[in-house]
Amino acid sequence: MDLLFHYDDGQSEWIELGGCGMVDPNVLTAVGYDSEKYTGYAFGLGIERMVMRKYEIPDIRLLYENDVRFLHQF
Amino acid sequence: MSIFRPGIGSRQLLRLRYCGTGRKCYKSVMKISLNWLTDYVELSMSAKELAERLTCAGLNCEQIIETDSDVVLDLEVTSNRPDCNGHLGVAREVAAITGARFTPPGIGELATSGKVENLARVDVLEPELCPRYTARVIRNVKVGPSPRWMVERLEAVGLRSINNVVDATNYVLMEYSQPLHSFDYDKLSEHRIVVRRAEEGEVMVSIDGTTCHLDEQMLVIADAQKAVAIAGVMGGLSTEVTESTTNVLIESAVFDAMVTRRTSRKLQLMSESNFRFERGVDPVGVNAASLRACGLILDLAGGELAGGVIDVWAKPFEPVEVSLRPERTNLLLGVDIPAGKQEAILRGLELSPRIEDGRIVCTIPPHRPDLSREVDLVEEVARMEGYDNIPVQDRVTHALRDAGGVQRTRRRTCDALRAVGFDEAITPGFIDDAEAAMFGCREAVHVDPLVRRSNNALRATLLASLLRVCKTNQDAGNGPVNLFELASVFRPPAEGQTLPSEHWEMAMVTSRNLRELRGAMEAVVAYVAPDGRLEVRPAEADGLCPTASAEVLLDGEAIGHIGIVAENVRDHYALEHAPAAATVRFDALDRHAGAKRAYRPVPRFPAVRRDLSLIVDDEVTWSRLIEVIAAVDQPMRVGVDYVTTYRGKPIAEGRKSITVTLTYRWDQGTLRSEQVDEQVDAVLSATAEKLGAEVRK
Repeated sequence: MDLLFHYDDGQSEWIELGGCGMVDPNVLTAVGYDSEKYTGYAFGLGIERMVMRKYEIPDIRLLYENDVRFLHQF
Repeated sequence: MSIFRPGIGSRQLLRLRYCGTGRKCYKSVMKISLNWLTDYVELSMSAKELAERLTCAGLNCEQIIETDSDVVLDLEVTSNRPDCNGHLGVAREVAAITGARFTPPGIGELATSGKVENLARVDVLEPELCPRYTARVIRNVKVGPSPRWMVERLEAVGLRSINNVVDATNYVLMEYSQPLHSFDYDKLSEHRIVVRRAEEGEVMVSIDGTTCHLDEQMLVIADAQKAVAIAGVMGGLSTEVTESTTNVLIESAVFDAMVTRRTSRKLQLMSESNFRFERGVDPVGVNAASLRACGLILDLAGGELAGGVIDVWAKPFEPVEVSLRPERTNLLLGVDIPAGKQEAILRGLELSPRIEDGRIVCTIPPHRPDLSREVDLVEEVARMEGYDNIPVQDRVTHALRDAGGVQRTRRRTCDALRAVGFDEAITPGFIDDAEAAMFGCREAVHVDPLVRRSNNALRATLLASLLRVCKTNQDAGNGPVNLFELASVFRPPAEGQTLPSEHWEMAMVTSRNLRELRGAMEAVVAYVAPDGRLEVRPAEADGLCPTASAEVLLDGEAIGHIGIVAENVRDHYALEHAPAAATVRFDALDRHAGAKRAYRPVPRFPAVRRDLSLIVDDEVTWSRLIEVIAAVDQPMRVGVDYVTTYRGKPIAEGRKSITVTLTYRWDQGTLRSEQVDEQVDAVLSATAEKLGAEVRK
């Protein structure tokens, strides 16, 4: 799944954020739902890239380094 | 969907673009040469448009590479579509998408001489692991370089040219997605092929020069004497086709996915071949691929093909039928595709649909083992219709539920930790075995070492991760650190369980001293679980200094540890100072956080406080002291608080003074001084009697 983002500065871009789709009936059955009766739509988004754009963070690794000078900024 | 607000910029998203099939499948990249593809299907559009159409049909195009004479698409092929690991499978897709005609390679009648049965013999001793094995023999080939077109095509898809015979089999691999192997016929002892399990301790050198130590779990192709190939994985050096080869035996077979995978992982041999067997090959296509390879060899290297084929196939393919209710498609997709159109789509995919009682009954061809249920056919219709053509409904009703339970506790815990000056760290979930062992987990839970070679233990405690962060900060020259993390930790499966046990942990690491950490932890627990009774009792804990570590209890239940990091741990992370650290089981905290809160009346009368300095033996802990005071039943006593501890003159060696504040209040009126004195005296006599305490004057 890609999302198209429009920013304040007039720019826009597609960002691939994760997978999405209809839940497989076997999964519904496994957790106790009648797959004839119920359907599901599932999607998952990675938040890192959104955060990076929002705070102008150039490198994803900064999020996991945990330098306290970085942590104190948020 | 458009009500989802990512919180970036002033406007929300406009459009969702669907990629892939939505299935969570392991993906691989397959290079598809457009020159090659046009052999089987007419391309009436630009490479860019084709890439877009394939992407919308579930074959995500990652990249378009243009060379002087060709265009190559990098397609992401999900593991449920093994047919698309070859040009023919992709050509079929293109034909189904565009309606163009699909023309498989013409093989025609090949001239033969003699009979293969008289030249070779095949015995399959493990039919479960090798459902089909075919062999053909070509005599008097002239092994040499391949023509330019062949070299270019193989290079376009990332393969190196070896010689005309090997190239022909690799070409068919990339065409049919059917791995083939060519043996030097004359080097096969007794011209026999035996498909059997390897013998324990059997050794074979593979064509890449690796010495492979085999075991009984592995399947091999052997001749009358020895293993000559590892089934589905790699051929052996001794029977390799070389410049001096004149007669070849061509193998085209089906090997079991699991045994191929296990063997490949165990031997650490990866090839285009095992990659395909692990995903499944077309059992019927095995023979076509073999014939195609033989045709190419005859063209490129000459020779005479022996008549017939040795085909050991215990259970020939029987097609299954799967039916689809057209209204089910529309219900699941939220679209309105007429039954006739659905049928046409399924016909385009070679599924031979027919209508029976309002259902579309499809006969599944052997190259589509992924289609076994109605929902799989729904997906086919969705892919061919194009995910982009599924209309967007711009208003969706959602029922929102309060972020209750664990989420609420988690948020409150994080708030409290930040309030006491701690920074939240988010660290990767992997540590190494040495770290796990330091914290008392000698059998850590691991991920597949072939996926992650080192640093592949799932953490048994967050402390390891946080101490790594301490080191990062130390190296950066940063001052004091106060870090916490809330995340899952893993331990081996409990008795009788198959899955590892996983629970949430709250961990704190600080360069402040132990007492300050304890205060911070107590403040957090008191905020999150105000009705819980927190105790800290000296106890040893893995990874913590034996003389400065304690167990943390909440209402008598052990929920964690606190202490100074042990010296060996400090040295492991090369830290200059040993930090103080605490871990608390978050699930326990959450259980105590559930209670509903209600207003309590604010006291109307003032409290009276008395400070007492009690001299006790050094061994008497604070928790022992309050235990004794608590045992004195005084309904008016509303608080016992720690003030300070003093050791030294004029207090005798081995003794210390603990100052406490006792608070008394009566809810019916103001307490008089003598009422309080009486109660304080009772506390004094209890501490004198039970702890030998004296009052410091």
